[in-house]
Amino acid sequence: MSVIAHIFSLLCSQDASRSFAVAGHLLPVCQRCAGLYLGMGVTFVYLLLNRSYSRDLPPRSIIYVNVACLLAMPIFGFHLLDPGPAWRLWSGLVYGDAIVFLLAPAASIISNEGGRTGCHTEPSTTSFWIFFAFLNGIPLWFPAQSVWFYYTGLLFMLVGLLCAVFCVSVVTVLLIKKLFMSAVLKGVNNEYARSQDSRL
Amino acid sequence: MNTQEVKTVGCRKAWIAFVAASSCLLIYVMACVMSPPGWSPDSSKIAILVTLPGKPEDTKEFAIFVYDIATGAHTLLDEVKADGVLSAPSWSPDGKWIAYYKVEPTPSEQVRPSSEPNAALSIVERPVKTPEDKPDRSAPSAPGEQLFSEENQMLPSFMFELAEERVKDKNDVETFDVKLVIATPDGKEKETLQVMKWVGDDKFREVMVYLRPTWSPDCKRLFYVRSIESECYTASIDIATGTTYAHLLSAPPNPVVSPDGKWVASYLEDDDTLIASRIDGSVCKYFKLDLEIGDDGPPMLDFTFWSPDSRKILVVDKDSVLHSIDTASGQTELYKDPDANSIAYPVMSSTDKKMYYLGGFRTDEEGPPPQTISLKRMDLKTKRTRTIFTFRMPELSDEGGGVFSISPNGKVVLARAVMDDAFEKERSVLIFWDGKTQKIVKTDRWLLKPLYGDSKLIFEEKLIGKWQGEDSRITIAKGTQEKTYKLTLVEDNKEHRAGANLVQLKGMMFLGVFLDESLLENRDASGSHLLPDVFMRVAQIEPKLLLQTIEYSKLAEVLEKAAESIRPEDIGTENISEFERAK
Repeated sequence: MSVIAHIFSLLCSQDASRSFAVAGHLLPVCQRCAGLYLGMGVTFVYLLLNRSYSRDLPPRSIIYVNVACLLAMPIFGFHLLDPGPAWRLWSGLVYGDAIVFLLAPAASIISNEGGRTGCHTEPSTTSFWIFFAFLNGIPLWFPAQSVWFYYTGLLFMLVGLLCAVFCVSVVTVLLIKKLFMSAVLKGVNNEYARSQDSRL
Repeated sequence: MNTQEVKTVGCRKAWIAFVAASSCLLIYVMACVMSPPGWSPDSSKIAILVTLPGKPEDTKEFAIFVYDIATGAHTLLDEVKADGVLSAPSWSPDGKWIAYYKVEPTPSEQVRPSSEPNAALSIVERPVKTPEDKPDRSAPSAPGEQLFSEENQMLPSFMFELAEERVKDKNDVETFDVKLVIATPDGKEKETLQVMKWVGDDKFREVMVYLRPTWSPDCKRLFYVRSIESECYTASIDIATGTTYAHLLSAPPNPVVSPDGKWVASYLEDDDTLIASRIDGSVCKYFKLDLEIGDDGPPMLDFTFWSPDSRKILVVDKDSVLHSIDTASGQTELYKDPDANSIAYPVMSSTDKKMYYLGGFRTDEEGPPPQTISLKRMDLKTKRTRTIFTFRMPELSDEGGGVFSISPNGKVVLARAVMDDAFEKERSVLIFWDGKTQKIVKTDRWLLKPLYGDSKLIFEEKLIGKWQGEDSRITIAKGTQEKTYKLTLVEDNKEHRAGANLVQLKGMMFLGVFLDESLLENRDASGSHLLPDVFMRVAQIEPKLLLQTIEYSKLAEVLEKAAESIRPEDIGTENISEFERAK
């Protein structure tokens, strides 16, 4: 547990007075960060299960909602409005959801060099709205006071963190590989390599 | 559009989405890790009870101020004079409120002790927990005012009833009213949550300056103590509903609430038994501690705190050994810093959950604190210690004392002390150390009310020059600001510099002398340039300069009494010095 707490200490102020206590255990992140990593983890699992991350970027309606969620964060994140723990959790949840909804499909498309396995259909959009409603309902009952809940929550938070690390790592590795290929193997002045780069 | 073009456009959109999402995540993480903890206000501001130098029980003036460490601005929250008392203030964890106890100076009819005629002490039945029975927060005859008005959640429950019976049987109990007040840090909003009776004599009023209410982590409850003669009990009030609960019978020290908000702990009157009770009244545990505790009152006022996981209570004893008591098993673990002879003024950091404390300091030693003190950090899991910074204490006055506290982020050390000024007069000061700088703030001036405004300031050219007295020499020059002077006083081969302004008050001319010249040079909005350390009445300038020293409080008194103009006999003839213009 101390390793997890240490990892999150690099990412969060870990203020005890602003952290949820679940069954006598203090979560290793503040309430807003708990929402963020939980939202990222739950969303990543959702995208994995219905495999919509590999189809395409979300349709326009979902993008608009996600952008609105991203814009909501400065209002709560900079304490312009701070109505309490449930709202802090909520702002983190929707922010995390929006980040993963953009990050995971984007990483998938970039790593497949623009390739996609399909496109979003109406049922997949409907399932997003159901999922989004579930996410918004979490602050109404969070946290349940059980040790199992504590460990499950922690697991989802770790999944959320690893999702972001994984997506960024995949794209970074791909980018390095591309640059290496174009610069070293094909030569810096190679017109073909340059045209490939401009496509990228 | 062919397949390749579709892929290229898709890739471009994906890159935009990727960069946007990564940037948002990065910005958020950086903001959360690097932003100053605005919600931890006592790391940037402090709320402090200010009194004049001397023992708290002797002082006749109390005021609570909020002081901004960076800007130096101070805001008055509340004040009482005469026999009134204010307690130490307590910030709510969200930084929006400051709570404190207040005893008004003049008792009202209903607060009169029962030994006096028309005594109005009554012990009422505890209210049943119904919305109709919620105590009225402002009405003077509400149940909340009376003794034992809290809903009993004490274990065993008969203890509360026994205490009630004991007070009921006595006819000569003395009581006084204590207000539980919350105020916003800017002082604009203030609310009296409860007016409660304390049973006890004047000694209990003296104890009050050392007490402070305690907030629950979610800011929904405020924990307080109530005195019932030689004992106290810890209770809490629900801020939203006003419902009050009695939790445990305890000694006066401030209750400590666990970070999960489920437990409250305090000590029994013998100071050696720690009690931890669940706030809902379902469990109460007693831990007999084998601590070396002296006879000089409650020893562990701010030396007890909970571990971040709310499982252990940490207590520092008089031998500076840290005892960690597991509330589940009752097992005690001891911690001691091998490199320092003490663990003093410990605080659990709100940011890294490590314990910060002062090393090289023993709380049971009489006399001034040692010259060199270290701010140290201990990781309670690994027991590793680290010195954050070391600082030297400035020279304090004989009664200088020095009460320390560490900011919740573990970065600033604050001491309240008394230092001698240039005229060897004792002044209350706050001393801040952040590892790089030492900042000394004099607080006595905060208690002063200006006796004049800018319009009363005058400038007399004739004062300028060198003046020779019997055993001192004074040089008066024009100051850098308009209508100010620079004074250089040489006495016993010692040179003192000061600033001054000249003011005409009810027909007399006074030099307001400032030992800190910067107060006149950098005028702030709080009007410090109108609050001199001492006044010198200019009785005459030519042919000889006659200056009469008069204390601030004395002049305030004279001005209040004088109807139109001050007569020389109002001030007397003491402390007059004669100076001739030096050639």
